[in-house]
Formats: sequence, C-alpha cells, structure tokens
Amino acid sequence: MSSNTWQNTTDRQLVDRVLSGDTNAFGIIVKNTQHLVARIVFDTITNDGDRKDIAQDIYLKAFQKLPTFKFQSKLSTWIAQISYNTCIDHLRKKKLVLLEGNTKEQDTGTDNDMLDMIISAKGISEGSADIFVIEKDLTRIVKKGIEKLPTVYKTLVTLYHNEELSYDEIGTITGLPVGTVKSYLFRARRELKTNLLLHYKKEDLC
Amino acid sequence: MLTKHLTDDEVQQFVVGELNYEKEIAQHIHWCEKCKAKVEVYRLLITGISQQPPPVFDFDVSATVLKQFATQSPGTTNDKLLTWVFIFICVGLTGTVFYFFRGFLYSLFKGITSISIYLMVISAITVIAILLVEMYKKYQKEMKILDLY
Repeated sequence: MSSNTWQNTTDRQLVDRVLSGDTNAFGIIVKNTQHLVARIVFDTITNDGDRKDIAQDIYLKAFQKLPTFKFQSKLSTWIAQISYNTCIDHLRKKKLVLLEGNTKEQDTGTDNDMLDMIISAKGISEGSADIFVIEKDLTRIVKKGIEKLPTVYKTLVTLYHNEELSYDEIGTITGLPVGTVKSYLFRARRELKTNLLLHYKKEDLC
Repeated sequence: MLTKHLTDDEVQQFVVGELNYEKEIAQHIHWCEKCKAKVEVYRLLITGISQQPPPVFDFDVSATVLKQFATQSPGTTNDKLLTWVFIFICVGLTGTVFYFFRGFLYSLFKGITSISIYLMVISAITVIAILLVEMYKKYQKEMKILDLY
C-alpha cells in the first residue's frame, strides 16, 4: 500500500490490519503518533538515555494491548494515554516528584508591580505585544519557563497549546478530571507569566 | 461594562477564547490599562508557547519498534506460560515438603485438639483469601489503566 493511501486509512482499518498480522500497519501507527508520544516523553523524562527505552516500551505495550482497544477514543489518544502512564510509572519508580517544579508561585504583588512598570514605561496600546523588548528571545525565555514547571503542568501546557487537544482528551490521557486539568492549566500559565515578567524586569534593569 | 479588574483566570480565559461574556470583558479591557497589560502578557506567553519547536526522537522509532516485533503478534506474551510454570513449581515444592516432613507435621499437630486445628485452618484460609482478594483488586486497578479503551 502506498504512503498516501496509508494516510487516509482510518484507525479501525489500521488496527484490523495489525491484528491480522500486518506489522507494517503498526509502523504507520507509530509514524502517525510519534509526535504526540515524543511530546509526552520529552515533557516528563529528562534523561536522554531513558527516552529511547521508554518510547520502545510504550509501543510494545500498545502492540500487546491492541486487541483490547475498543475505539472509544482516537487511537492516538489511547497511545498517548499509554505513554503518559508509562512515563509516570517510570518517574514513580525513580521516586521523582510530579507536582513540584523549580519555581514557586510568586505573590501577586510582584506581578502587579511589574505590570504597573510596563504600563508606565512603555504604554499599552491595542495589539501592542511588540512593545516588549524580549520578543525576539520569547521562544527561549518561555522554553526555560516551561522547563521549570512541574512535570504534570508541563505536559498539560504542551498538550493544550502545542498539540491543541481538548480538555476531555487531556483528561483521558492523564486520567485527571477535566476541572483539575483546567485548574492546573491556569496555575501553569500563571507561573509562566510570572517567569516572563521577571525576565522582562531583569532585561529592563540591564 | 465591568467596573472591577479582571481576575487572572478571567484574563486567561479571555485570551484563549473561552469566555461566554466576551463583549463585556472586551469593553473593560479596552478602557482598563492594567487588564490590557495582563492580556498582552498572556497573549505574548501563548505565542511563545506555540512557537516551541516540536520534540523529535533522535532515532527511527518505527524501525526500532518493528524490529522488536518481527517475532511477535499482538496480544501474545509469555506471561501466561510463565505464570503456569511458576504455579507448577510452587505446588511441586509444597507437595515435596509435605511428603518428606509428613511425620514431623503429624507429630506437631498430634497433641492439639481438633477444634484448635479447625480454628487455625479457618483463620489461615480467611487471611489468605483476604490477601488474594486484595492482590486481585490491586491488579485489576492497575490493568484498568490500559484496558479502558
């Protein structure tokens, strides 16, 4: 089958082909889902050496469990769920904390001071995101901020904003109630905002 | 129009387009410098997040995984065989111990009344049953994570 035809193949067709013994069809499943798996693995596992083993472990589990897949979600969501659970199990075995990051939430006073400073120093007009000196380094600064977030927050932020998954899908993957997903996302973005503002303040002082 | 400042959560919801009463909020943001600044910061932050390059594995995942599956088909594992081998070994060992030490075991329980033996046996069976149920529940709970779909 050509690659174009494979791209149009549904989850059910792919699963049926794998179950009938066509392992190449599983290769297509891997190709279709590896970006999402990579996102979860990179967000949760910091050790490069572990990532390869974990990625293989995830797909081995998916392959073994494929006969139990009931098509109640997208295949990619199901594999993402296996990925998340495998990574969390790995962290638990290594006794690494999931909800503790390198940053502590700053008090709102710091944020307010900095916002006042931004307003008075630069002025705010509509669509004025470009007022920030830091914009050219935005990607780098935000990346650093994301790295400092607790593992769970990091995963939620990237699944929501980068993979553009719905709250329900994120809840299915992580096993968290939708309300908790929303609440963690609010906290994560607040921490990232504080980090961004602190960086802006530093740059402004330089 | 809203007269008090938006909360941080409201600003976030506005920026990601989740507020049902956006018009009122938008009006407030238009006039309120402080909330406008917050909105701009969050917009900048979300731009920064979406600009993050996607992570990529530094090896061919598909080839590596398929190489492992060359000798397998989905759903086949050696787990069941291993379980039965383990059970067989355990039963065999227990039987052997009982066979060789039957005389000692008989003398051990010889002086005890039958009611005491019944009590001990019932207690032992109850404890083992409770432990087995607990183990099975834990196993089912862990397996449910992967068997949901």
